[in-house]
Amino acid sequence: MDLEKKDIEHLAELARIDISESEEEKILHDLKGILGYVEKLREVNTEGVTPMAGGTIHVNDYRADDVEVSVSTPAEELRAAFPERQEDYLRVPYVFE
Amino acid sequence: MNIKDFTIKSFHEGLVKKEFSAVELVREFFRVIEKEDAKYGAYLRLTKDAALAAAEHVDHRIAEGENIGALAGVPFAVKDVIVMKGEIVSGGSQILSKYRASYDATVIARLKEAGAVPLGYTNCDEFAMGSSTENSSYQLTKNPHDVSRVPGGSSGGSAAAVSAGLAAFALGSDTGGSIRQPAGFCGVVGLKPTYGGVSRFGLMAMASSLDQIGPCTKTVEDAGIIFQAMAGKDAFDATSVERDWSEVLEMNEARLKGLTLGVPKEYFGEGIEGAVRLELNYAREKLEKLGVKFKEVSLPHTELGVACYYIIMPAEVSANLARYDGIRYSRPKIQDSGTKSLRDIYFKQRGEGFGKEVRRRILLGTFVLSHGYYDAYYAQAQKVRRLIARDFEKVFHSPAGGGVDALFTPVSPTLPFKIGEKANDPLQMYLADAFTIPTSLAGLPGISIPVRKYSVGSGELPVGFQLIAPRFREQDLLGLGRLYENLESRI
Repeated sequence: MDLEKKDIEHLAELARIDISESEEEKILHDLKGILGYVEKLREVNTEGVTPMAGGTIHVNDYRADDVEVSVSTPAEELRAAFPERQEDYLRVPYVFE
Repeated sequence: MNIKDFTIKSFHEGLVKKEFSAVELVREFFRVIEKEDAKYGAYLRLTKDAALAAAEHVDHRIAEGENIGALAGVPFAVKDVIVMKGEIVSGGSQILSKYRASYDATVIARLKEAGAVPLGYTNCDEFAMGSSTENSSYQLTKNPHDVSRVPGGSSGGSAAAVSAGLAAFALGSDTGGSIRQPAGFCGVVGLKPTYGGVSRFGLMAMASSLDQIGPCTKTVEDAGIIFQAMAGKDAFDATSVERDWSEVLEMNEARLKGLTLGVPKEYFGEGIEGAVRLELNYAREKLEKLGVKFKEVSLPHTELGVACYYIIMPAEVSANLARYDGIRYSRPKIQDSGTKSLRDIYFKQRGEGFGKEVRRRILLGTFVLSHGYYDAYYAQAQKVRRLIARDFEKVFHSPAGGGVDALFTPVSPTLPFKIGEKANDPLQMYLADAFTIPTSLAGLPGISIPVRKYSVGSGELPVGFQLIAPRFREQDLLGLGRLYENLESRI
């Protein structure tokens, strides 16, 4: 996989992360190193192997659809934890320009 | 009062015999932390009000003649990724520098219920991403055994605090070795429970198919006590498993001495430093004297562990860290003036709020999950993960594979390395976790135990050995570990 600088820019765009021009070089270098290292996985014969999608061996965890326990945090504490507010409302940046 | 040599049991005895009060104890801890932690940088912030209130409550119960439990009044430290109501918890990151938690993580709630006293938050690699604690956006933490060296990571602050006697025990989190490796580097005990053993509710998620919370302690016995207090089903973490842990601390010596430990040849290859090899031989001889049998086994896919992990983990990281948009939790850098677009705010907050390693992993994860590369990288890594898990199943459950009860391995291929030594080479840093990653990928429990009692100030650098067991066999890990430490009479 020949990663290029424009790929880094695209990934940064997808991930919504500002990176400086000078840092792009370093990230490109690091990612190339890491992707080069993980290439060895592609040589492994995994035909017929089921992917291991998670850490648990439990298939489904059913429970009755009742409220058994709840975290009760007073609304005011939750509002207070939010970075910005106006009276009892949470204040967020403008979504529309 | 010398707080440094106490174990949980001796704290408890001192309290019950009224040799000191819980409040006196916690004050003494704060005095020592304020005097000594400048050398180590283990703590990021102290939770004095919460600690004093908890200690007063314990003293009140003692005064009322109540029977207090083993953990009542015992002071502990918390890795900066586990939330506690009313406290700032930053994940070692600037993006959460002002985030104040509005609830207790389940492990914190359970320890508080048991009367344990939270002293404060310990330093860690940002969002637990690292193997040296150098990726913290706040400060460096130094290895108490040699302050020019790293304490390991990512739970480096927790391991250093326990090692330096600045907490009776500490909580850490382990995704690919982040409890076991720093415990090994700092000469303390670190337990990563089976996946599903302990609830992660209230742990800042890094890689959800791997993350586990566990204790960092002075002794194996203490690790068992903490594990038992935290373990079990929690409605808030669907992966947590209902299980009876009432016998996890019981030791059947005859049974334990009859166990067979597998020695996987892939863990004793060329990459191991001589000093590590010598210490591991010493530990093995000690265990053999107890009657424990050793058997060479093979885990053929071990060598693929780091590569597999560095696809699966960043993929999960890139998804889990999408929540830190700089809007919901804290807005440390720029104030919204209404003139900037939402898009610009995301870019700027995430660009400035995340450190280098976090950004690197988010970009790597975004890449391996992206259209056109998913099958080649992520899907293939999940298949290799299955092969790694099967290696363990074979050595534990099939006579042809060895049929052993547990595995004996090094924790890390090297001694604690110098601060800065690997900081600019991510791949070298990743390889430091080669012996802890496979266990995590397979969801198995592992414990890191110091080979000897390494005293801070002796100049010796600690080496740990790791025991790995089948799922939910923590009782065997703890039992074998206690037999070993009784032999060494560590404390």
